[in-house]
Parts: sequence; structure tokens; C-alpha cells
Amino acid sequence: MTTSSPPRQIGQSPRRKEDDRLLRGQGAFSDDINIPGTVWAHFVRSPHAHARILNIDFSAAMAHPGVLRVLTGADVHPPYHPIPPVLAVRDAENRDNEAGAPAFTLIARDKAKYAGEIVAIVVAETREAARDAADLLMVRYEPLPVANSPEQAMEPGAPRVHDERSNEQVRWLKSTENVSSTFEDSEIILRHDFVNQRIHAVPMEPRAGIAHWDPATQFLTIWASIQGAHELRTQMAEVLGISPDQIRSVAPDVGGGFGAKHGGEVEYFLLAIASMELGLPVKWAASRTEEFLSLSHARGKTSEFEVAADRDGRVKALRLRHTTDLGAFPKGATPIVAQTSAIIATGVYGIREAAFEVHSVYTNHTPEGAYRGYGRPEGINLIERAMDMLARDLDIDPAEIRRRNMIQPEEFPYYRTPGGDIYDSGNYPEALERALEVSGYEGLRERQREMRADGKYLGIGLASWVKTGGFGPSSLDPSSSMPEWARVKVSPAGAVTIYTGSSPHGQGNYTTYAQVAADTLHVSIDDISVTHGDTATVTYGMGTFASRNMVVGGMAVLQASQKILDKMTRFAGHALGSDPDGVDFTDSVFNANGSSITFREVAARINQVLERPPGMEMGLDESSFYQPTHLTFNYGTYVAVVEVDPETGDVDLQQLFCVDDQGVVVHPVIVEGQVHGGAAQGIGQALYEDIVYDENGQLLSGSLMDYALPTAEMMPEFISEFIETPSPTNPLGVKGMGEGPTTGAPPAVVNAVVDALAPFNVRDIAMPLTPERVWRAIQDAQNGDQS
Amino acid sequence: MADSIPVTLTINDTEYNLDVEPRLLLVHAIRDVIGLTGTHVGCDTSQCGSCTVLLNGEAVKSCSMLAVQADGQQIETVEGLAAADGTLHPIQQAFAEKHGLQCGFCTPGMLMLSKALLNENPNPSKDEIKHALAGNMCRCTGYQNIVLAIEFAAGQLSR
Repeated sequence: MTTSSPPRQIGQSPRRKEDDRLLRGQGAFSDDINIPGTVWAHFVRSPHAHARILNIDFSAAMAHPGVLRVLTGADVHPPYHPIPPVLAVRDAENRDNEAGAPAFTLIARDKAKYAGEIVAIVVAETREAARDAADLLMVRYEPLPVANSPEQAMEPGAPRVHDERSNEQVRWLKSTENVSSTFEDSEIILRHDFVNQRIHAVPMEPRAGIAHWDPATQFLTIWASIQGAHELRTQMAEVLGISPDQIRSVAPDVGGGFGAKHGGEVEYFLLAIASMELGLPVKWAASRTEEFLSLSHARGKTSEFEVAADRDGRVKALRLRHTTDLGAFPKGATPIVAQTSAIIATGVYGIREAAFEVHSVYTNHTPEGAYRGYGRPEGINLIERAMDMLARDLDIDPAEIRRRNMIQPEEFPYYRTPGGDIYDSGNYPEALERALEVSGYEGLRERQREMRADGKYLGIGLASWVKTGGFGPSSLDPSSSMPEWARVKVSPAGAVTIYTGSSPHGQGNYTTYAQVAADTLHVSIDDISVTHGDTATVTYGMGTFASRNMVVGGMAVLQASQKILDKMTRFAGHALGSDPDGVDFTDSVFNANGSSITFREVAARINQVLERPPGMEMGLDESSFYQPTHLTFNYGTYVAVVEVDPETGDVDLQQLFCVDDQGVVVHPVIVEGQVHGGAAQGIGQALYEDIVYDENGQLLSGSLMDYALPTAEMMPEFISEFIETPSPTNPLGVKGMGEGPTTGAPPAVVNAVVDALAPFNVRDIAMPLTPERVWRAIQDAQNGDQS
Repeated sequence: MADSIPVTLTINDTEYNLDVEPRLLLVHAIRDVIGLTGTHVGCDTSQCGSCTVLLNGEAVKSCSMLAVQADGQQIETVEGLAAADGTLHPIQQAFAEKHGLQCGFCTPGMLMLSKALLNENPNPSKDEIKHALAGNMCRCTGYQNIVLAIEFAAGQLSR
């Protein structure tokens, strides 16, 4: 057949289909869902980072009016199981670790391993009664010495987080052949230690959920604020010891996730257990402080970083010792994130020799998990900071040193890095040159010189970055192979419904999946609806994470739509007396032999038995899995412009110019929104946000009064531009992009601040660049105390 | 627990007579007792503004006052923004037009704050808008499109 399309929807920016109900306050977030007879859970959490639990006396709590049940660690035993570690973590390399990876305990029994770990659940008729009764629970603890940083936790004799095993979960080494000799032969060696501080995703919707076990049908329904209903169902079945077929899992409207809501959280399993014990629907809605204490943190890494270069600034090799703070338990694949974080440290550059040493270590901190970027921002930050240091040492402009080192367009497709990543496509120098042009880089440098003459400190910071998308491909190990599923059905009236196994929660896929199907089926996006996030209506699914919604989920929608079109074409050929190959599909009309039949006519008539060709089943209902073969790599260059007041250390971030290549842009306005939001989170890390523990492992930044979440006045003007090199890995040509901006923004901003302070000889400032840290860095540098 | 106290709340022009615990927060009265779940709770410390409603026309954080303090007063929530025939309010339309929302969780608070702001200052500058948003947090948008939406709404409303 041949097709000629109506105006393509891909590349347009129609208004989002999901907005109307959200704007009317008709969203259904987990805490908005109420079912009759619901009772409330309150989780009692350890106030100590590490403590033996000597005794729990819940007699007073049980006597409180309205209290139905108190569950402790003693009640959570087989058939209930802890969350088993994922396969990749079980197999992770660590010579010293014969005990394997610990399971993620649902509830502390003998000892608590971080401040915030659940030690009891109070279930009562009302939210208030559960909370009041929780205050009556008497838990006697014996505090233990705390493993309070990965470095300390790796020392001999350090307190063990898990009594049965050492604290180091992963020790992983990888190197190309000639790293040592390259370092020995290099004229320039730059060495610096970096800290990538622990931060928190802070989705605006705190987690909430309702579990409803129906004893009569032996069936569990769970609504939860998560990034993938199907994954929760799988884990739930393992934890509860029941069949996945006895579970309906629903991710209703979800108010942001950013990775932190990827994977089941202990609270949801405990709600299900409480519901099974009581036979009643049990609900919980987290407070913000509970979120800071128990929703996974991320990023916490310390890195010893070395690069070897020649006098022209051409980087020949790097060495990285990368240590990550896992917190008390392995959430998902977090213990191996530091590996992917390390290997991307060669960045967008043609560095051929690299050695990586990775340590993933348990501490008595809140478990780490995914957060927008999943290790890659930490790796990119190293090379992007080092490039600026090297540029300054060699008196080369930061743009020029990047230009000299970049992987060239002719080295694509499928450039293999020393760490083993395979970059699919791109034109890295073009993104750099475009960013310089858009930002007026030369003019900014001129302004910087003029302002310095007036005692004002403008800074310009570049970051050229690359970030994976489209997880998970078959080219990695089999446990990483994560297809996505879509079903497309056309009603007899011609309405199109898409079912997707991905689980958007702000990314706009209700609209963008409709655009993909609309281009294939020539229908208006107004006639397309999208269903997701419910295992009762969506047969298979992986969920939303790792910049995969359009790359993997969108491709599944495309494939299922193409199956629909194929069947309609065969029907049309039969109706018009033509081979399917002789049918032309133009503007929603099938033409052959001088006559035609519309899309809507096919949709209706395909259900008439006498009209169908022999052997064709009625209906238009097709599904498809898309299994990506390779990861995609979106990239870009960002330019940050700051003015720093050296008297106060205050940083005024004025503009962030963002040039991104995420392949084909399906909906420019949505993609630009992702750039703004992702960059805002990166700026938050660069300037404001910090998870701080005291010497006892107590979380100090456990509320929005103490954790500096950016507000509107803290944001710069964002200027967003795209270049498009289609990905060769998939027919849509998309690369995914949600996590790139979070990767690019932090080094751009830090480079800008350090650039502003070059006259003071400030060489580095650890994130977040608060006024105090900036001011101290200036004082230290002035005192000759190089940071 | 103290005895319940009768309160009368007028929300979106409908009068509700409730018996509430003295400690019940206004936001929980709106959400849990009355069932208007468009107003959200995003923090415990009155930073995030997801719970913003209008009290006698002024933006307040409904997590930071008690239901009994609102007795006898006029409250407007996101559910009351659209016209009776369902037409979206110009501020709602502006947020859709300028992509001022992603996950939509903070959006009801943002809309109510915007309405209060534009009542008070029909022609705010960008800086005035950003300043007015100081108590309303969004984690998805980076705020730029929210500011653009409020500017756009101001233009639409003053036509």
C-alpha cells in the first residue's frame, strides 16, 4: 500500500488532552480515592538511625478508641516475605561479599537500620485515631553506633548495617588496557575529589495508597502513587506469597515521581498485609516529613577523579574511584547504579582510556533509589567540572577545550565508549556551537571583562552532556531487557483507544501517544483516548522511568497502530476489489481501483461477517510489544549565566540556555516543559538542595522548611532550543529526554559560579552553592587555601 | 479529643453545616468531610501551597488554619473556578494554553493563588508574579510556563 499523510501530528504542539480534568480539580490522586469502610494506617518509625528494638508495648495504643490492630515485625512473617533484591544486584560483583544482597525488610524486627524505618503499624477507624494511638506506642530501643558515611562504613570495624554481612555491597573494577601508561606519558595530570550531595526527588504529591483485600474472592486491589502498576503487582505477589492473578494494581493520577516512585515501597506492601489481616480497605497518606525520611534519596556519591591530557587540553585518559551511599537497603538496582554513573564520565568526549573503581556501600541512612538521571548526572558532573579546571590550568577557553575533545559526527552511529556504553547518534559539536550562538557567548565574555573592571562578577558556565534513554534494550544483559506493550483498538464508530503499559504522571503521553497513533491512522487526536496505569485494563506493562516513555512505549503504540492499519488496508482492498498492495491511504480514506472507503466505514463494516475477506476475524483490536535493541543517548550543551556578589556569596542565576538533541521532537511544547522542569531540578541540586545528616545519622533536612526546594524566584530565564539527529535505533527516531536537563544543568551552573570567581582564584565549590559556601570559598582562596 | 463544634462553611456558593473536631484543619474539612478533593495537601509545614484556597477572596493555605476559624466565611476552591456551564475560567485556560502544568498536583493551588493575585494586581510584572508564587511550589515545570500562564491570563482578563 501507499500512504500520504494529512498534516503530521508529530512535531506539532496540540493542547494537552490530560489538562482539562486536572485544571478542574477532578484529578484522582491516590489520597483522593475513598472507598466505603476504609480504615487508616499510621506507620511508627524509628527515631534512631541504628538501634536494637528491645520491646514494643502496644497495650495503651490498642486501648485507644477506634484502634483496630497494631502490627509489628513479629506479625510480618511467612507467608509474607521481604522484597527480594533484584537479579542484577544479586549477581553484582564483590569479592568480599559472599552473603549476597540483603532483602529489603518491610518492617524492622530486631533492629532499626535508619531513622524513619517502620517499626509498627497502627490501624484505626480514622486517620486521627491511628495517629493519636501511634503516640501511645512504647518502643524501647538500644541505640547502636552508626555507619554514617560510605567511607566510614568501609573502615575495618565499622558498625555493620546488616549484622550478617559487610557494608560494601558492590566493588566493581573496569579498565581499558593502557590507562597507567597513558597517565605516565601525559604532560598534564589533573586530580580532584568531588562530592555529589545526597538529594531528594520531592514529587509534590506525597505517597498515598489504599489496599483492599476481599476475603470472599481472595483478591487484592491496591491504588498507589507509583510509576508502574504492573511492577507493583509483580512485587506484591512475591511479597504476599499470592498469585499476580489475585491482584489488581492501579497507579491513578500520580503527582510526580522523578524516579523516586519507581518500584514498590514498603508502605504499600504493609498496607496490603494490614488489609489481609483485617479484611478491610486500609489507607495511608504520607506526611511530607515521612517522605523525606523514607522515600528514597539519591545521588550521594564521592569521587576521586583524575584526567591525563596533553598541553593542548586533549584528554587521553581518566581514572575514577566512585563511592556511593546506598543507605540501609538496596532499592531496585540502586547498588549497580554507580557503575553506569562511572562509565559515563567520559562524557561527550573521545577519551579512549579509562579505569573505573566503584564501591556501593550500606550506611544507616534512608535507602537510595532512582532520581531523574539515575547515576548519569554524577558521572557527567565529574568530567564537566574537570574540563573547566583543565581549561583554566592551560589557559584555554572552556568552549575550545570541549571542541577539541568532542566525539565527531562521523564516528556515529553506535560509538562505543571505554566504559561500554554505545552512543547511538548525534552531532555534539553542533550542539556546542549552537549553544554558543544562542547564548551570545563571545558577547557574554566581553561583558564579563567589562563588569570585572567595575568590580562585578559575571560567570559563564558550559556543560556538554549526554544521557541514556529508552530503557531497556536487549543488547544489555537479559535482566535489563524491558519491552513495553501497547494495545490499540478502534470502535465500530471509529473512536481509537490506546492502552499503554507505560505510566505517565506529568510527561504528557496522553497527548503524545495520541499524536503517534494519529499519524498512522489519520484520525484527529480528539478521537483518541489513552488508558494506562491499571492492571485490570492494561494487560502488560513496565512503567515510566529511564526516559523510556516515547522511545519504548511510543514505539509499541506505533507498532500496534500499524497492525490496525494493515488489517484495515486488507479489508479495504477486499472491499474495493484490490490487492492490499494496491490500496492507497490518504487523509483517512482508502482508495483503490477508482473507488474509496473511509476509515470510519472500514471500522464499522469490518464487523459485518459477509463483508470481510475469508479468514479475517472481526474487530480492530491489536497489541504489540516493542523491545528496544539499544539504548538511546540524548545530549546537549547548556550555558549558564550568573552574577555572584562576593560580599555575600549570593548567586544570581540569570539565564540558562539549553540546546538539546533528543532526536525527533514529538511535541515541542511538552519537550520544552521537560527541559525547564529537569533543568530546574538540576539547578536545585547545584544551588539549594541538600540532604543533611547529623553525627548520629539523624536527618536534619526533613521538611520543606529545612530542605530548600526551589521556588519561582530562584529560577532563571530558560531559553530552550532543539537540534534533531534522529535516533537510528527506532523508526520514530526518538531518544527520550526527561533526564538530560537534570544532568546538564548542575555542572553548567557550578562552572558559571566558579568562572565568576576566577579573579579570586576559587577553583571548586561543593554543591549546593549556598551563599555561605560561596563566601567561604572566596575567603579560603584569598587566604591561599585552595579548595 | 474535645467535643465536636458546629461550623458553617460556604464553599463555592454552597453552604455546608458540619460538626468538626476543634483540631480539624480546614483542608481536611474540605477534602475529607465535604469531599472536594481538588484541593491537595503537599507538605506539613505550609511551604508548598498545594492547599491554597480563597477565603473571602484572599488566598490562604487551608492546611494552616482550622476549620472552626473559617466558620461563617466564604471559601472558593478549584472546583468553583469554571463557569456554571463548565467553561473554564480564563486562568484555567491560560494554564492549558501555556503548558503551565505537568503532573497537575500543585495546579489547583497555583490557580487559586493566581486568581487572588490578579484580583489584587490585574497587571503584574514577571517579577511580581514570581514573588507572588513564593509560597507555591511546583516540581515539574521550573515555573517559567506558570509565570507565562499568569501573564497570559492577566491579558485575557483585562480585555
